[in-house]
Amino acid sequence: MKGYWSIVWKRFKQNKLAVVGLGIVIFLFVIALCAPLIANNKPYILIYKDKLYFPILFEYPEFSGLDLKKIEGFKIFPPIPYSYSEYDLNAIVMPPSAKHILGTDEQGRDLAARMLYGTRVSIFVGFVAVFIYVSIGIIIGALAGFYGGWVDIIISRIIEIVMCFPTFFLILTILALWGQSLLNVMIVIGITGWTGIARIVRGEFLKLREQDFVIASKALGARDYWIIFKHILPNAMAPVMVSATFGIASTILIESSLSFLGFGVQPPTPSWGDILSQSRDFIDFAWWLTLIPGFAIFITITSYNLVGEGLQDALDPKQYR
Amino acid sequence: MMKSYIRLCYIILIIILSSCTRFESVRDPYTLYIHISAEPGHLNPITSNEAIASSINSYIYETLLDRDYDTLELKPQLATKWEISSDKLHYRFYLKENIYWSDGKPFTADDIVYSFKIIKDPRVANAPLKVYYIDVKSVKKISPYIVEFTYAKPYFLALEICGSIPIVPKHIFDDGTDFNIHKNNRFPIGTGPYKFVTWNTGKTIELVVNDRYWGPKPDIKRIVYKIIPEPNVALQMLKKGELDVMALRPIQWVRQTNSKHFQESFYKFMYYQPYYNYIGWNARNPLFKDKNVRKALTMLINRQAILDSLLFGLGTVVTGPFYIHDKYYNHDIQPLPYDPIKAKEILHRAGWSDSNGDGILDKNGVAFKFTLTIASASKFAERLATILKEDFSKVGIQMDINRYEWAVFVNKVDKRDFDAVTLGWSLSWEGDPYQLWHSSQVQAGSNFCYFVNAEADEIIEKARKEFDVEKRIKMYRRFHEIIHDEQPYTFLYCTPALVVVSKRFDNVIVHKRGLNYTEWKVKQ
Amino acid sequence: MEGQAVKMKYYILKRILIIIPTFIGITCITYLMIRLAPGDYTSLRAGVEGELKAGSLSKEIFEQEKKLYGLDKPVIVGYAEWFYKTVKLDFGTSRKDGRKVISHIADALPITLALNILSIIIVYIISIPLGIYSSIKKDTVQDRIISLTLFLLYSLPSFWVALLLLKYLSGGDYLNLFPLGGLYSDWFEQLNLFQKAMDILWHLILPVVTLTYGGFAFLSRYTRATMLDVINQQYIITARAKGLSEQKVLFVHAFRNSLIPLLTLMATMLPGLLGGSVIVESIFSIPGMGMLAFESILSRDIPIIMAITSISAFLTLIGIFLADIMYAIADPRIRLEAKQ
Repeated sequence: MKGYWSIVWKRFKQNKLAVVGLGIVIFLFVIALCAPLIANNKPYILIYKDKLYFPILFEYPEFSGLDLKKIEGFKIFPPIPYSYSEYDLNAIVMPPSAKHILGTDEQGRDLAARMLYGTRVSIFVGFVAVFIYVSIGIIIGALAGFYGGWVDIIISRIIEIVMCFPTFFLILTILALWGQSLLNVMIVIGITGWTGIARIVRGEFLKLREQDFVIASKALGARDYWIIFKHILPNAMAPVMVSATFGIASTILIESSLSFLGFGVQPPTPSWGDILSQSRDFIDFAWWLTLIPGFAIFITITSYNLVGEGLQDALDPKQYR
Repeated sequence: MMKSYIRLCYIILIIILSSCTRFESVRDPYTLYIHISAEPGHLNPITSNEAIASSINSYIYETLLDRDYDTLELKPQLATKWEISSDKLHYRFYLKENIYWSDGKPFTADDIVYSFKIIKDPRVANAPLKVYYIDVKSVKKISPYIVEFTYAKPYFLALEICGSIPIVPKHIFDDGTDFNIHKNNRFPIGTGPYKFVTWNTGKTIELVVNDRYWGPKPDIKRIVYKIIPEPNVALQMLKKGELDVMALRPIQWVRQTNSKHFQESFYKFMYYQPYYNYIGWNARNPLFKDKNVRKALTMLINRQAILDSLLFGLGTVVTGPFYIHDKYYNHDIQPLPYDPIKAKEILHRAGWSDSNGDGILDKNGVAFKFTLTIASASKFAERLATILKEDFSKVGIQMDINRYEWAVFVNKVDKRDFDAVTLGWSLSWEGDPYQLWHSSQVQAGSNFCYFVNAEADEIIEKARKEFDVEKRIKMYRRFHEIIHDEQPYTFLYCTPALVVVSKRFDNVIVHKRGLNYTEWKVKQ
Repeated sequence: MEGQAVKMKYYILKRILIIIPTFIGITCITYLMIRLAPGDYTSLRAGVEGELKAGSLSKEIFEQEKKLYGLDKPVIVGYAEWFYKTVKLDFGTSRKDGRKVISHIADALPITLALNILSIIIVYIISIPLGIYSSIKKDTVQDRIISLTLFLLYSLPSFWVALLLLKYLSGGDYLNLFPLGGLYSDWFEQLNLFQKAMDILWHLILPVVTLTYGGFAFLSRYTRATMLDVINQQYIITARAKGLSEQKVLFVHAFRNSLIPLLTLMATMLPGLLGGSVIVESIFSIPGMGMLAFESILSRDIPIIMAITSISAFLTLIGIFLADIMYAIADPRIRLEAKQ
């Protein structure tokens, strides 16, 4: 298998755009991980009364409740010296300036800080939700495609039932039942999104299990799950990977839409869709509140789609490069 | 092939663009265009609970008594006079004799008797009204134009309750069909200055002057309520002249309606209505049992600063459970100041300190953590909540935010499943604190913060039977003091209505009660 | 061949029969979820968003109302009653305003259908030629540019685009090319038939643009891919060799053969016809099925929710069924039933 994927990687690299997309995805990933180190109202280093502190890493009881920007002492702040929830009622809806490079929102919170933390929500939701539904989809699709017969009939009916559900309604109801939170949004997208993957995997399995190598394995006495996971599944992974990549993009869009409608993460957790929805009130003059998060969503989705495209092209044996 | 295809596309594009005829119709100056942000379900005053429906219905349907726009006192509308028995249990109304429903049939006591019967009918979906009329034992027709209400016990609001009974035409509704889904719920017939014409679902509701109206005919001949859910769109339409009346949101009032052109074309009115919002502390929660803790929490909230910034200063901080311009409101009571240092002291004295150094106050091993429950639809609540979270965390209180959609939110409040909640109460012009504050209402009524105080209970019960206004004022002002001392809620603000009206009308006056379209005159 | 036909008939019959229990399953689960969800219609009678009428929160009130709406009955009973009525095609009345559910749907459905059909037509009209063009010019600059542009369009979040379109192209703050939303102008009644149609079209342009721009990418690439598949097949090369003109080869043979997968795709779009986009409809103030579904969920208006779910479920099932049949016809390699 190793040889196969390195060929795929080589072909992927030839697609310049896909590589750019991958670069952006990695960049966003890094930002999401390091957000608290890039935007924080606690300094990296503080020398106060001749003692050295690292407020960004540790919670010091003597500083609890104090605004560390106002303390007398030597301090080095992160590049964006605001946290995502720190508000300033004197600086509401301010355009980008030296003090706040991307401007502020309706509570005087720094937009740049919120955007950076918003990356976490987007990336996290994307990966976790897709991971959930890819796992579910693979298992269900594999079972249906491999065993066929009654198993297939029942599973196909289940797939149809889930597909028939108005996804949105399901999401709203589950969020109502379990409460609105990041985790629940991810779970619910995961539970509703697996049908596509299941159908793909089922199709692949139906095609592949008549192949010689499977028949040979069976003849040699290999157990079912061995055949499924070791032999057939790796061959079926290609379309799954592509679908998963597009799935991440679409999940990010779903989460933004949900937040836009007011059903996403709980306040004050920043999410790009949430920022956009708050911006509706100020749409005539606060262009930064509308353009910046929208643009961020756009770039993120584009990057994932580029990677997906690149992957699809790289994996497709019929494409002559 | 490609060429002809592209040509086809061009042709279609041209057809579409040429159809953009800006057909400017001649606007009728005697038509008033009012913006409403949501469509009412229906216009039956007995089964409807929506504010928008009652505001539209106030021009179609009338009641025995109405409130004067300036003094807010009860004055006759469909009744000419009334008599109250000495035991305060019988209320006799003499009806005007020359009133007709807009379809020509006469208005008589039969309509009132029928309306009362329908209100009490268990098959009718109007539970809030049923509860409101629970103490009215009977409504008897004495003669075609005299009707008598019998009340179960002496109550100072009895006159208002009887006088404001919603009246629907018996000859229309008493026809055997289910009252809840009667076709005239979407085609109201009333005795008021305007009659209903048409309802374009999702678009407009139109009224026209009622020629059979018994009172002075208004200058405005037609009223069109335009349903526009998007406030930005509505403001654009207002500026374009397609709307005459619109209620603005604070940000629109402050930032988007100040141009010279706007000031020249529109009046801007700011006036208060009986309402206040608050944060309710669930007294069953051990954190909020102690009234000193509740006081400290109030002192941790910078109400004035929040008002000035989030609401652009449009509103007033309130301290008690009455409408701020109500005679019962005790203006001697000053709001607790914003004083986080003092608040911390109070908390410390109440036993809260950070004994384990984790940054969160604790007492007997319990950390000061709670959740504020808010409703999705209220942007203000969300902004307030995020500010509070920040402020509270600075003193060592951890507050989480739980936002629910409206149906779930009401359900949670009803089940008392919350630590703290933020809401608003829309009050009537004259009210009685019983439902919100009496200890009997703690389980099944609206006293969901478990406010229990013996003196308050006593005052409420006594005041219900007190017919002397001055005495009642003294009682309620004392009640206001008790509430202020107990802080079951952190009272926030009374926020005003912000209405703009086109200057093409004259005689547009803001009364205590608000605006009255029937007195406006069209400028020539 | 005989055996194939009989097998096919048997398969079709079996599928149709299975649709019934699937449908029951879907509607039953939906009903269960609504009943289990916290909050019900009575919550909305307490007051409007954010404000409660003083004293409106009272258990007594809620209990009475629950009884009236049948919400105190056990779930099974409630579902059975609904099912019984629905089979008779009586969808009940809306909790919000007492009007029949049918009339709510009759108001909202044509709007959504119009939007969706227009969108589908436009997507097809633009994507297919683009796809064919791209397949001809495979790997050239034009192909790359088209690919990239469509791609970027696909990635634009629709609610953002809707906000921007409304802000910058309508209303007069910047440009005033389009109306601010809604379906028809105030002076609609005074127009003649043709002008009425044009007025509605004018109002639909921005929403349709918002709904379609993202669809070009997928369909044109799909067309491009299937065209490429077919182009490279033997019989096309043979046709070319025989000297048929390039155009004829393309549009007669290649296109015709890529039609089947395209038609299969259309069948899966069938249920999508009824679904409105809540976001687009709310931004453009269009009272379609999306808004209807959204509002009915928020207000727990059970009769409407159940009606929309059943209609949409029914159509989805039919759509999947048709798609599978067409797929099976097109590609007999996919077995209809897995062999034991």
